[in-house]
Amino acid sequence: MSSPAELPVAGAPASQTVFPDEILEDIFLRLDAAADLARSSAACTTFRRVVSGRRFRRRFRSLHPPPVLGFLKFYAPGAFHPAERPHRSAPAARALARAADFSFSFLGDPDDWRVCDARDGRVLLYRCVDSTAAFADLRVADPLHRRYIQLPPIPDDLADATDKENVEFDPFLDPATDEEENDLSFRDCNKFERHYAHSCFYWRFWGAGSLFILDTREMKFSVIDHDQLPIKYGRQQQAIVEVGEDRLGIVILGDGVLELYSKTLGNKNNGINTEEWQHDKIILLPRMEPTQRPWSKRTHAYWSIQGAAEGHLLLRVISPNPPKIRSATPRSHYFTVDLKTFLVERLCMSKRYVTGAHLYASFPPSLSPPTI
Amino acid sequence: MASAGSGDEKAAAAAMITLISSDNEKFEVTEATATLSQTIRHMIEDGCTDGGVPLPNVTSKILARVIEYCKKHATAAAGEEGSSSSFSDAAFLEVDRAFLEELEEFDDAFLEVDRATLFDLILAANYLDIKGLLNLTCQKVADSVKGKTPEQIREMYNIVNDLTPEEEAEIRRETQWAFE
Repeated sequence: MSSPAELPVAGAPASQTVFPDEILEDIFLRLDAAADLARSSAACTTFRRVVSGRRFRRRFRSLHPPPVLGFLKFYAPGAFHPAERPHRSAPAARALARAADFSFSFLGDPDDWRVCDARDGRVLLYRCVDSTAAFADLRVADPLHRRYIQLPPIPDDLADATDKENVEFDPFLDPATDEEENDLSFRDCNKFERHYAHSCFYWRFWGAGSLFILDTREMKFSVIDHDQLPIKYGRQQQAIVEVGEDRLGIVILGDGVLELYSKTLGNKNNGINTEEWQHDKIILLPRMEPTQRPWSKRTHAYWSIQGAAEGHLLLRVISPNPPKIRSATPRSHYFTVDLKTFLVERLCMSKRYVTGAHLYASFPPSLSPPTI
Repeated sequence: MASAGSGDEKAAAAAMITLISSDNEKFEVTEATATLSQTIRHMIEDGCTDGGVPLPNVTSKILARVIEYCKKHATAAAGEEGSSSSFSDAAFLEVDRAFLEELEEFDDAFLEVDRATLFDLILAANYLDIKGLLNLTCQKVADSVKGKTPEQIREMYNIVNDLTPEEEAEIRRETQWAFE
């Protein structure tokens, strides 16, 4: 027996000092919501000390994914849309919006910066001076702590490529390796979507049927042909997602539903094997009032997938205006879909038209240490 | 409480261990039941369980409950091993599912205790290093904290507020969003 006298006797009257810190940590780690953690810390000095501990906070953050607090508009700095009531993250999102600087004024020349990616509380921006020099200046910024780092300049040979016509760069943050930046150049593809799942980035190009894959562990490229995908590419919107630990999923937007297909990850062919896609789930989207289009007698709610990140999909649905103000921009409602629980939640509403968005997930300000 | 696993033929053949509570009550359990506790498993491996294992941190009342939990879960572990060889058999899977459901019901009923007992079970599970029991009991406390105000948490767990008004104000300022 190793010095049992140091431990409290189970069966003795319980008091607030009954638990050693390690047990309190075990209990608090099992709280899912950061709000519960914050309220517990306000109960007594012991709880506060345990919850404030750096080791505990690291453990808590590693066990719980950060909640989605809103989204950042593609390109436009300053356009943070926080979660709104009755979304459960609304209070934390408001606190974040108050505490953080999403106009990125701390970068200087705020009008020159464009948002090109967001992940783990960090935002990747580039300075938009002119079209050819666009990627000369890339910065990763932490809007909450108002810090940033300047990324090394793009090598000359790559930068030269931007002089050529019809080449676009797509700078993005790599979550797996914690590297701040990668750049890829694409020729003749003015529009594409980028998704991330299981250490691989997936690009889908408008007009092409195939998926273009970058495995960041081996830094190798590969392609999934369109005939290996669960359904032929039509106009349906799709997103590549992680399904559990070892499955790759494709979410397809259908008529009022999302359909999820998945297959196991293989080790070869950059994570894709030849097994058939399996139809996993149909997720019903909330029924919305149909949109009456001026040119059509047909009415339908107009859903679209805006982004996929941090274990969630961001969906938009456009709802109708009253007939008299039909010319005004219709209101857009945004929904998140939790890809683990398939819970569909209303995030916020916007009267402005948003062409694309980066989901922004982070712990509330008091639990978020600097990410840079 | 003295004889354990009488219905389990496998366990009956196994070696027995004597556990001694802080108030000197003796409990005889099978090795399979006792080794759910990592602390006791290490003692058995070190060969220092002859003459019984004194557990001066656990009262007989709590030790009886802990043994009740371990017996049930040791049977579950044995059942899993037994059926793993015929995992393809649908009938066995059905039995497994039924057993898992029964185990969940057992756990739910097991947690129907007062606060002091729950706390004592946590301390005992921590001391004896019984992972499943620690998970179960800590989760119960965590669940009861969800959605509660600091005042309600203090009341539930008999905690005295020892924060200064300045400290309280600071916490409120930092985490105002959690109180909205």
